[in-house]
Amino acid sequence: MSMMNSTRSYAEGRARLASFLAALAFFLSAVEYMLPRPVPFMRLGLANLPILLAVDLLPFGSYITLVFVKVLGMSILSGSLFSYVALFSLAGSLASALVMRGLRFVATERRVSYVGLCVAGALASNLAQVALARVFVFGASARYMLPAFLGLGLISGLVLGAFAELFALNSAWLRQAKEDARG
Amino acid sequence: MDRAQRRERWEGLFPAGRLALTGALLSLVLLFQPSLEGRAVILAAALTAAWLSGRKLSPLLTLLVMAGIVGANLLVPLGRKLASWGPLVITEIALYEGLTKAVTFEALVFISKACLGPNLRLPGPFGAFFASALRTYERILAYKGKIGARSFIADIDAALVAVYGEKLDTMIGEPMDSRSAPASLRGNGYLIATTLLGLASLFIGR
Amino acid sequence: MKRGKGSDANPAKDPAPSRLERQSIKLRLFDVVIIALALAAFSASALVIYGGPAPSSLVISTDGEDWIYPLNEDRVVQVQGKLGLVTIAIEGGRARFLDSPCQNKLCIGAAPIGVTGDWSACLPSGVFIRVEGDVDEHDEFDAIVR
Repeated sequence: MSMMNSTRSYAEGRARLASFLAALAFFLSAVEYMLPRPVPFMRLGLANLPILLAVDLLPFGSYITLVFVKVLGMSILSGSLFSYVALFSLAGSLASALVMRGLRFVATERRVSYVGLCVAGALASNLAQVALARVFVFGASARYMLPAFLGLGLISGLVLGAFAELFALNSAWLRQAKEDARG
Repeated sequence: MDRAQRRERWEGLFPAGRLALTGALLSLVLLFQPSLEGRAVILAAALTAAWLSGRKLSPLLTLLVMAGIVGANLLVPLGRKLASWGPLVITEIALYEGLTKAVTFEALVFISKACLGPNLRLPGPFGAFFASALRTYERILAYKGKIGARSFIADIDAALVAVYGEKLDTMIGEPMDSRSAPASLRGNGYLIATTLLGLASLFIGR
Repeated sequence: MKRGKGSDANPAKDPAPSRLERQSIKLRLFDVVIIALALAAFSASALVIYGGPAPSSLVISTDGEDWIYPLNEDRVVQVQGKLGLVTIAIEGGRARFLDSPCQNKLCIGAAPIGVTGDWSACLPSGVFIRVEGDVDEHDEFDAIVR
């Protein structure tokens, strides 16, 4: 398989990887929907896993495109594109993606793992969403939601980050993708 | 006619692109509608459309969300006092704001649900990227049944390895068969009528 | 710092010839820093938002009707009094009568109110205003007698 890969250009391989990561995001969100949910409020955000992985797999431009395609795609598939839900999702995903990428820019894999990236990303995402919720949905009382969102962000960030670490350690696919990303 | 049949009928009647465009326009109409009553009417219409489109709806969730939004807005009292229920005070302006936000929120959700579908094709290189991702998504989805709770990561990984390898022959820019409905007189008629009605509603009343 | 999370992937019970080993997640330096910061942010926000006093509000009462407005937002409000429209201004966290159809205009000359428990009134109009909210711990005086 890797022999045939080497005949493709680096750009094509990268585009293929980005497209695959977007597809993975859609898939994981469908999987998460299937999982039993102990607490209705806790969204694990499995669909953020590909973006987390993409921090190390894609160059910045493709990375941002991936975020937009993920949000757009999920908004269309779930039928929420024109609603505030999509707006919140976009703001949250964008904030999270930028924070995670920024963190990786200043700290290598030796200093911060997916757990740290994920927690930081989850917090950034929730902060952005609370800010928007204050304007569009809740009004001044949004401040009462802030501690809850920060707490939930920390927890979901920890869980997803741990899952990402486990996945990264055990995934044959990821090893292949990393080779492709290096070109 | 059950939900799946309604879905088929809806998707067969409206081409995905035009439907989405109508939805976008109607969302704008909603946002420009100044009165709560007007928005409530649009909510009722959107709710009907979403039901007709065969999308999965949850009345309980909708009511909960709306109650939550109204409740959150009532937390900060504002305006003339209308009633008090123990520690909770219901004030006029806060109630109005809460109702407006709740109605707007859900109306947009229903418009989106009625007007969006997976057959939507976006233009440009972005659209090609999106279409390619959707195709891959459907390929991976085929493995959904093989994902077990015990070997969760291993199962997902196996599915990924399989589909990732498959894609060797697929070019990104491949045109996707449009599975969206062809334009029809009836479909176009409904879309145009709804759009005109929506635009007219902006001028009716105060 | 090592922490095992083998129960998630459950490799030990997996009968298939699996390449999964019982790997453990290693937390790195910045992970701990970030988690600590997140905890701090959470605690701080919870303390400030749930522990602090509720913001004060102005209650305007006329015969049979009450209006409530937050004191922290500048606003001009008009209510119907016995003699006509009475105008009240909320500015810089304090409220005062701006205009009234009464004869003496005593209400307009009164000092603006801003502390919980303070009140003012335009008696001829039958319009009362008072500040409600949690008692401010920083209040130095219970009352001032002149």
